[in-house]
Amino acid sequence: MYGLVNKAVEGLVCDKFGQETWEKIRAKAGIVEEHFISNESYPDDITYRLVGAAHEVTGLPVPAILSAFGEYWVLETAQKGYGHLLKAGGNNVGEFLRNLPNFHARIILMYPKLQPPKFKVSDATEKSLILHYISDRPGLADFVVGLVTGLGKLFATPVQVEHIAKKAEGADHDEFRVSWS
Amino acid sequence: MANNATKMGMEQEEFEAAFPYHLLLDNQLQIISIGHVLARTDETSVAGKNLHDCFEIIRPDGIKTYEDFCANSRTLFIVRQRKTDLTLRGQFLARANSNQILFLGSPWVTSSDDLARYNLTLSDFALHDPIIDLLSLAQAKNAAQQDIVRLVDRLKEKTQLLQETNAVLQTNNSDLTKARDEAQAATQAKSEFLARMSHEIRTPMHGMLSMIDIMGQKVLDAESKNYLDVMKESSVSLLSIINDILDLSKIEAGKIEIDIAPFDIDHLLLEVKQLYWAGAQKKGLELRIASPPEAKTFTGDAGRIRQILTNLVSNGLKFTERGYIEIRATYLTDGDPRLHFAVTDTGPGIPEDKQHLLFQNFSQIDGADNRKHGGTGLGLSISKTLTQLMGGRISVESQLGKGATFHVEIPTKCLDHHPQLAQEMAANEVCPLPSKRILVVDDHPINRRIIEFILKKQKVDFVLAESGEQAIDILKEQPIALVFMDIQMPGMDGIETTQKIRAGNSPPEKLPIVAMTANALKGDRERFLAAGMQDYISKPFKEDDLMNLIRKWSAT
Repeated sequence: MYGLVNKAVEGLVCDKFGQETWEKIRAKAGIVEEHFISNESYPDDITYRLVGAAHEVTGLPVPAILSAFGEYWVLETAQKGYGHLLKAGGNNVGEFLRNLPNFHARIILMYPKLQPPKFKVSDATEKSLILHYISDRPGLADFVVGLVTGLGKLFATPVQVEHIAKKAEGADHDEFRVSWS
Repeated sequence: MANNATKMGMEQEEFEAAFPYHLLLDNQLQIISIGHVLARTDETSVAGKNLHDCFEIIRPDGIKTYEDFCANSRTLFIVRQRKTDLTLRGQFLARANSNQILFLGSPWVTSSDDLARYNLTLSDFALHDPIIDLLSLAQAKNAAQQDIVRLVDRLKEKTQLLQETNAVLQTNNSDLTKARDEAQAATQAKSEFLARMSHEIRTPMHGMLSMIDIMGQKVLDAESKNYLDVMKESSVSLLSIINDILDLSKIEAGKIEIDIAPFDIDHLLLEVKQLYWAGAQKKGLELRIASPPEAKTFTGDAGRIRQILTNLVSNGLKFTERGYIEIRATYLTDGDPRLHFAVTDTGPGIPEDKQHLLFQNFSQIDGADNRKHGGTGLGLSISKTLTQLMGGRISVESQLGKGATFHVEIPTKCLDHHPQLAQEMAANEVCPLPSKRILVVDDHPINRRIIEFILKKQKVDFVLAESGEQAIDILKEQPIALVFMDIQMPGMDGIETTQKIRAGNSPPEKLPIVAMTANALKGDRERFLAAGMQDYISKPFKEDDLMNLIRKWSAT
């Protein structure tokens, strides 16, 4: 994953628990890098180790950490880094999610070494849609839940996210029913 | 507009989606149609309006008429929507057949804030239009730039920290250097103190030993002789300890000097045997020596080799209760020629895990050894250093209960096939005693008493002087064949006295001068020779050594 992701993990931990806790997590994860470079590609293993160490140090369950990280990613990392560009992804949650496949296609242009997940949208109505999340990286479905929840907050629209198909339980890929009022 | 889309084989909706910022103008520059996003940004930019009323042509300059546009169809145009300030980039394509021109372009946005300012979303851009991707790329580059700024800041912090740490280290280093210099100075002072004290102790010891020898030659009853033996044994033991300390201080001060000269191996081994024969007899031990049968005369520092061997034999004697001590010398010619001495005892042996301690200063295998057998624990350490100074090596081989063998190897040359050197040695051995008077200069009354006794016994004609000044007066008045000159004297010392004698035109071939010193350090020999002396003898000396020197220099 790009350093941007690991920097976001660092930012979340420092914001919620302080610098000292981050240093403990970094040490526990055996990470030698003092700083992550946003546009540099790092092994996925580093991110997984950081999440595992965060669970051990903070005592929070891994799904809660991933979900919080998803929200943080949208509301802090992407918002600060890309600002209006992120909001320009759509005028509302539904439009943004429908544009999500294009949004990720653009990310490939920016980060050529990135292997981003694929998103697809189906069954779209005015107030709901099914979001298909197709990724080779295991265990990150809760991160998507956090992302979508964060998007709802970005557009000031409370959303409900229901994990209706789980790859971890044998499904072809993860599916989420996203609805808003 | 339908015409345009049709000619391009596109539906109207598809054309709108592909070119949301287009303008179609007639030859009067009236707007025929306008892209739906451009129309949304300014609702007054509508069909029927003149281009120049709604838009300003920024580049190229001077574009006014339909013909100007037609003539610049391959020029990049920068156009600004007057009401919104939205800047567009693109080109005007002349459609000659229909007297129309078509503008195809898109907004020029350089930051994501521009999107908000003009109320644009990603859907307002055609997918083929790379402007949003370029904008994203610019944002990514900004993030990279922020990383660089952050890293440079951290680098500055680290550099400053490093500089501060360096400053502390330099201070510490300076303190350490100072401490090291002070420690070296203290070591030097200690060595010099030890050397001085040893000298101070050796002088009265010399007196005691000589007087004990003199008394031993008198007729004494058995009890008195017994007392005298104990006195001598104790004095010799004390002298040995003092010698060890003096040697250690010389080694630490780097003042040990190795004198390479020819020597006879049988003579050397015999000397060591004679020294310890009585002690061995007393314990019921056999003391054996064996020398190489094929060669006898070698080069080396016989005094230092003797010192090493006496240390090893003395140790063997201390620890061996029955059996024998043996010194076996062999001449090795495989590789560089060297003398190998194996000193073997049949004592208790040395545990393997303690053998590495043997050659360290003040090391004795068991603290109880010190109390039981005495000694400074310096002998083997000194022996090792002396061996190394001579370019050799020393090692031990031992098993508990099976005795020990110390091996010493010293580089040498065999001189048995050098007749000239052998002759010189032989000549030195048989010199007659002098017929003329010799002068002994020493400020110390005991030293004068000792030498007086020896010279009287040997029937040598002599005269004594207490100071350098007195010696010079005697030399002016009497014919003198040889001078023994003490070095450390109050007032004019031995060096200065010798210089004055030489300045008074007493050439060395006419008047040999031999230095007497209780503490010859490295460099002293050169100092004595430079002052005009020919030889030196170390105090306390043996009667034989003194007489040999008298014979040697009387013959010249």
